[in-house]
Formats: sequence, C-alpha cells, structure tokens
Amino acid sequence: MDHREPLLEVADLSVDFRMDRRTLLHAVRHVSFQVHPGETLGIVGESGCGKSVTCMSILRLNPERRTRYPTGRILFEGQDLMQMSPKQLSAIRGSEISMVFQEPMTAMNPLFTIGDQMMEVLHIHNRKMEKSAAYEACLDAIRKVKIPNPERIMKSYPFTLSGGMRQRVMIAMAMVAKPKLLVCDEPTTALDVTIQAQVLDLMNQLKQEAGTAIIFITHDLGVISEMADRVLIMYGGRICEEAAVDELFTRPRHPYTTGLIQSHPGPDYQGKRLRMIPGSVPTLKDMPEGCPFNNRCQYATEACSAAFPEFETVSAGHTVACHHWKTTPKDE
Amino acid sequence: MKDQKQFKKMVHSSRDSLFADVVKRYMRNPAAVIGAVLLLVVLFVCLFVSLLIPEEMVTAYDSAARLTPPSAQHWFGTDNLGRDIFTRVLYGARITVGIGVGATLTSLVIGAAIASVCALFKKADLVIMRVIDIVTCIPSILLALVLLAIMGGSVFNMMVTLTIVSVPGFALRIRAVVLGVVDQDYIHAARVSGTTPVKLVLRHILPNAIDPIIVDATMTISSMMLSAAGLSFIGVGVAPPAPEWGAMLNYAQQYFQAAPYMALFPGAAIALTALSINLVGDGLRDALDPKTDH
Amino acid sequence: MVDTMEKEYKENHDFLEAEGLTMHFPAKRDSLGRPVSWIHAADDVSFRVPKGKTLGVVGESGCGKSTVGKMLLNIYRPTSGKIYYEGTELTGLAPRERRPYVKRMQLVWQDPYSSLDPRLRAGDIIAEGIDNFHLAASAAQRRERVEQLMTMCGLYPEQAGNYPHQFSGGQRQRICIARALATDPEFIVCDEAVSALDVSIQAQIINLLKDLQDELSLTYLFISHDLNIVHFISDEIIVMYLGQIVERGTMEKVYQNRAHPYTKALFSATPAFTAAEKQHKTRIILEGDVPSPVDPPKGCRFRSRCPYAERRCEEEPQWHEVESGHFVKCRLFD
Repeated sequence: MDHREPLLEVADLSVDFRMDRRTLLHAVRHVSFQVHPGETLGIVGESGCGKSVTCMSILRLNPERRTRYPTGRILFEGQDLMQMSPKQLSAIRGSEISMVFQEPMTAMNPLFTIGDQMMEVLHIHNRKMEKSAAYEACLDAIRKVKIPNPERIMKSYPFTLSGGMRQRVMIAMAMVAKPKLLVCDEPTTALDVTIQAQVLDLMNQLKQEAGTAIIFITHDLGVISEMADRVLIMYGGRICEEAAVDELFTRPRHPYTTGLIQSHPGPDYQGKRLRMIPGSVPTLKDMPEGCPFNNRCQYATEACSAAFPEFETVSAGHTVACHHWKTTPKDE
Repeated sequence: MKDQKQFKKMVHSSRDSLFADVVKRYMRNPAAVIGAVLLLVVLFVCLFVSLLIPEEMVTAYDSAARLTPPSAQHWFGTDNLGRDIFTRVLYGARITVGIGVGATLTSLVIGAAIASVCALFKKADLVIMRVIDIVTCIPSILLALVLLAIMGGSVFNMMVTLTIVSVPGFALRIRAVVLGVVDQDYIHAARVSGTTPVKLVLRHILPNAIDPIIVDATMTISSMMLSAAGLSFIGVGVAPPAPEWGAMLNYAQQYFQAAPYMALFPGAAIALTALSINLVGDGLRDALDPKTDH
Repeated sequence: MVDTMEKEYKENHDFLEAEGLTMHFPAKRDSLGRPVSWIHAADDVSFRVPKGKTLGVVGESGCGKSTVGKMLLNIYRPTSGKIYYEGTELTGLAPRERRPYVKRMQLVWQDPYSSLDPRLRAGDIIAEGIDNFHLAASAAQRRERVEQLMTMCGLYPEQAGNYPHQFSGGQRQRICIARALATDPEFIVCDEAVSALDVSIQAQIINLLKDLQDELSLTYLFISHDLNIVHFISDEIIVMYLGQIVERGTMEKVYQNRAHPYTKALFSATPAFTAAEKQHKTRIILEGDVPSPVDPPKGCRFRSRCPYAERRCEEEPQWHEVESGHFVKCRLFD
C-alpha cells in the first residue's frame, strides 16, 4: 500500500435516490476508497452498478433534489467536500477537480465557442488573471492535446468538431486549470477504436507530464487494463473487489470479477463456448438482500443472502468482499 | 426460489386483451374519469334531448317574459325574444358538439390517410406536400367564407367547410409525427418480418403516433366549436333561429349588462364540453401507452 | 493465379453473393429537392457468404457495414450492384417475387430498446412473421410456436403477455432473436447485435447465437465494431473502411497475418486484455480522423491516415492475394 497522504479519500459513502414518496433507491452503499497523487484508479462495472453515481457524488453533481447522502465523508486534501457550501465547492470544481464525460457534446454549451468556454473555466479559477494570459493558457492546453491549429479551434463551436476532436477539446478544457484530480466517466465509450486509442494514448502522456491523478470509469475491461494502476470492481452499488491492475487480471478472487473476465471473448477462446454469468443485471428496484451478486453466483449459500460480506485482505493491496473467496477456484 | 418469485411478479395476466388493458389504465386516472362522465352527459343530451323536450320549444317564444332571470319556470332564464335558454342550450349541444366532433373526426381520418401515404411513398410525399403548401397559402377564414357563401349556411355545410379548412393542417402535423415513427428500428424490423404496408400503418405506425395526434384532435374539437360560433356571428354560419352555442353567445353580447345569464349558460356549456374533451384526450393518451403501467 | 483462387472461392460460396453493391445517400439538396452531393455509404462492395458459416464484417462508424446489411435485406435499395441468393438475382425482382426471400432472410438489430414496438406484447412481436406468412393454421398452433421460440431463446413462455419495457436489455435481445427465427430463416444479419449489452450479458447472447447456428444450421452476417467478438464468432471476415472493403479472408488467416495497414491499426487499437496479450503487442496509433464520406479521398480511401501512403496511392488500388483465401486491396502488395 501507498503510505503517502491520499489526495482523495472516500469513506463509507452511501447515496440514495428518492423516486417518489414510497420508493427510495440505494444507488451506492458503504463505498470506501482512496486515490493517491499521480495514480490512476479504474472503476469497472456494468450498468446500474453505481460507478458513475459514486464519482458524481465527489463533486456533488447528482440531481440535488432527489439525492440523499445518508452516510459518508469525502476528503479532498483533508477537507470534507460533503460539508462544503455550494460556493466553496464550485471553487474546487474545474480548478482542483475536473471532469470528462462520455458524450462531450452534451457537456459543452452549443451557443458559445470553445475559446469562450475554456476562458470561463480559467476566469472562475482565478479572477485576476489577465485576458491575454488566459488566452495563451488555453492555446497551450489545446496544443497539449495535439490538435493542430489551436487558434482556429478556439474560435469554433462544439458541434463543428468530430467526436474524437470534441473529446480532446473536453480533455483540454478539463486540464486547462491544471487540476489535481481528473474524473473521467466513460470518456472513450462513444468513440471508434482507432480514435479511442489516440485518446487513451494522449491521456497517458498528459498524466505523466502533469502528474494528475485520474479516476477512470468504464465498463470495458480492456481499456481499464491499459489505463489503470489500481482497479475497483463494483456491482449493485457496492465495491466487491479492489486490487492492482495486474493482480486483478491474473488472480481475481471475487466470483463476479472472474465471471466478467471470462465472459470477454479473447483470442484463446476461439471455437469454444464463452463462459458466462447467468441471469441479468438487477435494477436498483430489485436488488437482492445481502451480497447483491448472490442470485447470479454459483457459489452462493444462505450466508450470502443474509449479510454483505466483510472486506478481507487477500494480499497487500488486494481486498475482496466475498464469503467464499477462499473456496472459489483460483484463475491462473 | 427467489428468482421464481421475482419472475411471477413480472408475469402479466396474459389473457387480458389489449382493450381491457387500456380500460384498466384509463380508470386509474380520476381526472380522465370525470372528463368521461361529463362527456357522456353531453353526448346523452345530444342524442336524447328530443325525448325530454319537444323540438318546437326551441323557437317558441313568450313575448311577455323577455330577459327574465333564471327561475323555477325557466331554469336558465329567457333571452331577448323570450325563448327558454335551457331548452336552447340543450338543443345547441347537438349542433355545436356535432360540428366540432364531426369535422374533427373526418379531417383526422383524411389527414391520417394522407400522412400515411406521405410516410410510405417518397414521391407521393413530394407532390402532396406541394399541394398542401399551396392550400395553406389561402387564409383559412377566407376559404371558409367563400365555401360557405357558395354552399349556403347549414349545419352540414359548416361541417364540410371546417373539414376542408383543417385537413391540410392535420395532414402536416400527423405527417411530422408519423415521419418520426417511420424511421424507428421496430418499423424496419416489422418490414423485415414481411409486414405489408397497410398493416404496417395500422398496426405499428399509427398506434405509436397516436399520443400527440389525440391531444391535437381534442384541442381541435374545441377550436372547431369556436370557429363555428365565429362564422355564425359573421352571418355565414348556421342560420339565426338555430340554437348554436357560439351564435347564442354572440347575441348575448348586446344584453350583457342587463342579462349576463344569457351569455353565462352557453359559455359554460362550451367551456365544460371543451374541458371534458381535453380531459378525456389526456386520459386516453396515458392509457394507450403501456409504459405508464406500474 | 488470382483467377483460379477466385474460382475456387466462388464454388464454396454460392449461397449469398453481393456484387458491386453501392449505396449513395443524398447529402445536400438544392431548392428544388434535387441532391447536389452524396454520402458514399458503400462503394462497390462485393463478397460471398459461406453457407452455414459466419461472415464477420468489421469497421468503424461510417464505414458502411450496417448499410451493407440493410441492403441485403432490402431496407435500403442499392444505388447499383446485385445481390444473388442461391443463384437468383434478388435485386431485379418485383416485390411480390421477392417476398419468399423476405421469409428466408432476417435481421437482429443493434439496439434492443428501439427495435421492439413498445405497444405490442412480446408474444405478438415474435408472432409477427408467423402471421405475415400464415405459418400457423390455428391460434393454438401459433401460441405453441411462439412458446417454442421463446424457450429456444431462453425466455419463459409465460412472459409472452409482457410489454417490451418490462424486460431487461438481454431479454429484449432474446425477443429480437426469437422474432427473427419465427419465419424459419436460413440467413440472419446480426447488426451490432451485442454492442448495446452489458459485458456479462454479451457472452450469453453470443453463446445463444452460436447454439442456434449449430441447431438450425443458420448462416450469419455478423456486423460489429468489436474485433474480439468478431474474431470469436466468425469463420470469415471482411474489413471495411469508408464504404469499401480493404481486406477479406478466412478469420484465422486475417487475424494471424494482417495485411492491410488499416487492419493492422484496427487490431492493434483494440485494448489488450491479458498480460500475455499486452506483451507481444505494438500499438499503431493512427493520425487524424476518418474523412467525410461525402468527399472521400480519391484512390485508396485510407491514404489520408496511412503511415505508408505514397503518391501511387492516389490511383485506385487493386485486389491482391496474400495467401490462399486471404485478399487485400493495397498498393503495398503490387
């Protein structure tokens, strides 16, 4: 484990959504993790597992009226973001922590040029900044994401750019104020593979140059294995396994992680049947009691529907929440 | 075990017909039920008013009792000629609602047919759209005036006129909705399964385009009723002795200070009828959509 | 040399053939509604589908792979080109004559949410083809067939009365497959059939498709952008770029011995997954974006992004045979 002070520490975070008077959905339950300076933390899971909600909670971007945080603290450099006023929080958004979304088009205002929007980010960050200095900083940020002719990009509107280009601009915009933490929610899911490769390559370079810590959310195990240092696997609003990336892919211990890895068609599976996880991903409304995976798990016993398992340490930096992790076959 | 239970909950009683489903969902909406009751009363009056009150009463006047306020004898009072307003309002329902509903339904059917042809055949679409462009260039009130002047003012001619005037608008609006539906994957999927064009329209396209169309149609019924009234006022609509609600309202203007009830009752009749139709429209839209079922 | 190989290939593949399929959509129109520029969605696409096998089609968005599938099923009418089904030219047939082939060729859609009519019950959606071709003599027979199809696709027959929105994504895709199977087809186009699904559900659907293929001896055209999945399921593959085929051949040969620079880049861009894969992998990162299909580059369409592009690429490249049953369209093999 890393003994440095963590940059971000999420402790026992739970998020509920109030749908109407009677229904309260538990989107995230008792999630704890840390992000250290300069590292990339991957969060992997399928739809409805709570990965996006967790990250939106960091900047409190969940729909204000419907969201409740029954438990949890989110410490960023020692300060609790949960206790901050909206004003304090907006000073941190964009400048200390910024975000890249899956669909950059919806995250940008179509009525303003890229330049206007980037300059605004800087303006919020530092009100005394000279306009010319801000302009230079923006050009610099665009140059860093390897877009030719940055002056032209500054003057263009978001809808005139291609998907890959937009996502790069989005990254430039997120990086312009030199944040310490970048939260990326499925940043390459909407892109084609060759464009995805470009963007991932770029993100890795930027990370090395600027030393920014990244939280990288995706459903794609392939992408995560190339990007992340450490990985969290989430299912049904809970973390079920945490490990360094190579450890996770070579020695997964949670049955869900194993299933997820095996259901990916790799080249060695040619001609055979794929291993699969039976059943369907539960919606928040019909989440089973205890371990949320118990109705799809081949090792499930009564203990699994009785209580959510405690986190146990497999090896240094590798924890798993499963009653039966010792008995599940080791995948080598 | 748990799986089984969850699964049981999901399984619908698959024996219910589509119609029964729609009725069930409709009955869950109190506002829609109230609207339906009101509308049923109006329709009942339309159909059976002649059994309750003899038809001569509509024009029978009592010159001794002009502009009398509501009383036990004349529930809604009498008008400037001494005619019983209650009787006239009841008989007026036939004319006003008849014109509104009749003209809307006919133009709805014609409009939907035109829109479906447009959606299925690109070349026909091009021609039909140009024709509609030309027709919509003529102000509709002018067109209605000319048509009524040629044909003469009667209830039937009023209906025909209003239909002709509103068909292009209906066709345009339905076409816009239908074109949105026609490009959906499930329409292509039905085609791949060998569904013929006519069946495609009736089974897939129109049912999925119905929500905005129904809302549109209910609004149109009320606006048709008002147009009928307006045309009657100008003098090209339904001829004076006929108790058309809008016409009654317009005559009442002159006596508004002395006899506000002359305007109040036909006005209330128009408002209530329009309201009930709109409530029914909203209720139907929700009931037709299986997704509102929870 | 190429000719004899082509001939042999032809003999093995006389089930379904596309010859020079071209699809141009109007891009911009003038004030009279006449098109002034065209989107080149597919240009001169020719291939043959081996009977009882799976032909994979890969490429990125806008490469025309979906357009090709839709042309085969008559959803789009090709601008030019011919489609032969067991020797009969489908493109020349009148709608009435084409109808028997509608029954034999079906489609599974990409988005299980938009491809099911929300107003119909699952059972009626599945029965649509049965009704259209009068494949059931009585209501009881129709119900029996629907139940059989549902069971075959891993659904509970009791769910026939449910509406699409009451199913999960994976179950909806099973309904789509059951609907496609209702008319007893021989050939099914799977257009990104698993792309919209969660990873753990993808595997279920892929296995289902494979089982059904074995059971009913189906032929698939499997369109996807996911190389891992195409590699897993396909016997042969065609790689498309900007409306044209750039490489085609047996899956294993193309995978082992990628010839076209684009194919190489595409395979290398797919994120490596296991540690072993990661090691023997060099990543080729392409520069720039896919050009607009309205005005594609002359000659080789890949040349604007190709690391090996030279002057002669401005001329139309020729087909070359890399090895038996593996063809590439690139100047590097002149």
